[in-house]
Amino acid sequence: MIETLLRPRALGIALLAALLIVFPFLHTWPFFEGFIGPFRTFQAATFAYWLVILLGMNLLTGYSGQISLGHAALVAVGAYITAILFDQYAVPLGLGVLVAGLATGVMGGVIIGVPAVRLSGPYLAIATFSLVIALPQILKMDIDVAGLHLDLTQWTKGTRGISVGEIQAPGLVDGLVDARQWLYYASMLTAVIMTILAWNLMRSRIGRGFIAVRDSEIAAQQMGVNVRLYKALAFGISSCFAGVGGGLFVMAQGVISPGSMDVLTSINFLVAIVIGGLATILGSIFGAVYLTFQGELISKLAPQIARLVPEQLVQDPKTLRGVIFGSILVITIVSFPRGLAGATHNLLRWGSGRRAGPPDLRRSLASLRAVASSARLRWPRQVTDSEASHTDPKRESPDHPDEGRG
Amino acid sequence: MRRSRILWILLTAVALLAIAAVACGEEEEKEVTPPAETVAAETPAAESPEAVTGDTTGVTDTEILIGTHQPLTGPAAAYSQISAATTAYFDYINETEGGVNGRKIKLLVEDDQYSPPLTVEVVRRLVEQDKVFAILGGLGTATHMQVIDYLMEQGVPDFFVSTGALEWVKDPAARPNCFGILPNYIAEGIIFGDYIAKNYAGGKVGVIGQNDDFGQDGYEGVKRGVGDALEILPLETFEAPDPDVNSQVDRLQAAGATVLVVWAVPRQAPAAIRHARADLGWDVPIFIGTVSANELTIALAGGGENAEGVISNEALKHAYETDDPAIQKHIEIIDKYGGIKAANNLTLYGQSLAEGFINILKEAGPDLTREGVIAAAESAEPFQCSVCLFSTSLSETDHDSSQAVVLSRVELDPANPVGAKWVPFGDAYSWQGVLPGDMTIDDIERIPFP
Repeated sequence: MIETLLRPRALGIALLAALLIVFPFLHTWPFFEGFIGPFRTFQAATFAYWLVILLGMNLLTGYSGQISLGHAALVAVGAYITAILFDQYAVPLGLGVLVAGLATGVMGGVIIGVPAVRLSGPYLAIATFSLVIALPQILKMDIDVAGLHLDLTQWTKGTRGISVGEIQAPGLVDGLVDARQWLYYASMLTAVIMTILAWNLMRSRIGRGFIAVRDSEIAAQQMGVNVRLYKALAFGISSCFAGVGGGLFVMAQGVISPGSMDVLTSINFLVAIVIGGLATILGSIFGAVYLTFQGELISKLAPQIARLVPEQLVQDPKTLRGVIFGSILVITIVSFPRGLAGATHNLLRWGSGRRAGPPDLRRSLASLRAVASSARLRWPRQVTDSEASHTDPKRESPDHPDEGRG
Repeated sequence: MRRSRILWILLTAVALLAIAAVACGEEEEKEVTPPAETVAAETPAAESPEAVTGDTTGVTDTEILIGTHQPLTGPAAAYSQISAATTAYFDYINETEGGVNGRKIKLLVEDDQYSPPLTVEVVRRLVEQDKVFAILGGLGTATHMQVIDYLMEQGVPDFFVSTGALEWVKDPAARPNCFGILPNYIAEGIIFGDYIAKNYAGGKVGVIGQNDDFGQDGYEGVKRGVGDALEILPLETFEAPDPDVNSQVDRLQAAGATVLVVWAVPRQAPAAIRHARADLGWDVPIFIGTVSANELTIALAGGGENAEGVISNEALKHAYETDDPAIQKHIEIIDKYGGIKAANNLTLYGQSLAEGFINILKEAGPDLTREGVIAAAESAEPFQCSVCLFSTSLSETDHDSSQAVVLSRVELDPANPVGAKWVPFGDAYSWQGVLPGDMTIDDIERIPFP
């Protein structure tokens, strides 16, 4: 059974890898010329940074259950760090992205993560929301307070923002790829690496710790999971992803300013992962597709749909955009409560007749035991159904976790 | 299971349709516009025998494709009427004159919701996917700031940016493809400041400004204009999405302001007026930027009762001047070609954009290229559109087209749908050929008006 699972899977991954590698050149092939242009290569780079950002967001909200409405601020911080390093200290963009990721991760973990452990649910949402509201003004800050002149604009360049220009391909590959294709490869490679990292992380002890904290904080604590540490860690790691995403953002867009990320963007991230599917890597991918194409889709669809509305009701169909967009969102979330990824899983499981229901209590307890009893990070191990069904709540006692397993 | 199966199939079908719409849409546009790189070699046979050198992206024998980013929805949705009027005027010219030099003008209006991240996205799409010839009337200071470098890199002419910020016009050498149209905020501020200094000397000036170049340029202008005549309080800022500026107004009242200047769009500007007059009962003289000098502001401020006496400046004729044939024509055009029933300052502005652009196209001639149209704009004679109060001019060293305004104030008018109207008073101010960088009141000359 393992072999048959492996073969199509390996084939699928190989195909995907091949597609990713040749994608920037696809539009020069005769068959694809009609509907792919160099613009799509740029959009693929856009997809890459949205994916990285949403991976982090999913880690935080999907796997750890902590709602953050301030993610756009973290992305902006990562973008600014990359831009400032490039602009003021001539640090190459690639290195800048790395540093930005780490710095944002530390910042997010410490500045937000530590206070955030005391908050949950709507209170956490409000606290993180304040971040994204405050950030534009912090970036433009040039004030005199208590006799001290605080001027951040000498780094952030205030309202004008920082322009890093178009990323240039290094001399080595000159002639092989142009600037945009190089941007694509750099962004996509980073996105692939971050995806693998996230995937690995979620199947490790830390990942199970996150899920345990999400499913029931009290139970997790009873099981010996350091809830505070894992919450802060969730913020730190997702901030790291946000920072890297922000660095990729400024690499692709070439400019960052206080207006680049606003409250709407933050909310859009949340919408994207819910539509895509919480707590799944595939969900982040779907979410990134949504973020990349939603503007264009609505732009093309809205006039067509608006034509169906009688002219007496609405004078200018362009104003219906919001209504159409909102309706599509509502329909999607009502039809697929577990997101598009959830729907995909349902579809794939269809044939075998198994219903993919919500995780039940036995599964949660099984994952807790796995966390509490594994003493070190080991190769990712799935909690199988047989293990879950063997867990008998009556026999369990928090003082004596079953030592044989782990 | 059954229900979700049907829904799943339905949604897949919709998704496929949408993708098909997007893909097919792109294919159509690709066929119509010739790629820029091969222009020199591949001039269509129907064109003039000599090869057209230069970038003709967006131009075909029969069509000129241009684009714009506008806040059709969102905090500045009040401005959505501008593009409606511009489109209507282009349709009028397309139908009655067959366009310009046989080419019909098609304007693609994209909604950026006054949100800078969206502006980047829609402008990129306009330039790279729709392959527009030029951008006309991109609206918003913070929004356009995001794309101005990109447009320059791509060599796209950026006509008549709908904001008065300095950035586009202060250095034409650095931004050769960018042209302004609104009176710049520094000049506006200097004019207000000068008027305030002459009429309200000895008090304190409170300024509320949007937290970007719009507010900062305006504040700078007021400082230059007022000079030492009044004390100038620190700038009170607000962010573009903020619904009102009540606390800013309160703080200025507490600080003892005797004059208020508000640099805001018709969302916060009328809110400021309403709060000061209706809520606080404060009859402080209020000046607002020209971007809010329209009927909508009066309406949102609570009608003529609150807005009476508010001062701004203008460069366009008024919709109530119905004995002016140009205004009659305007009302007719926007109704017939745009279905717009009520003319106002915003529709007039939209038409002025269209007229200005058509004038430049005519100047550029039948061999239309991006470089050519920029050169044509710079060498064109001064032009006064049919609904403009003053003539506008551009040159190689001056990309600021509208450099004259007249002060105007709100007066009650029961005949007007919003109960009041903007009425010009006093002299007009002109600063032809003067760039905003170091402008002072001495650079601005007063000309009799009308």
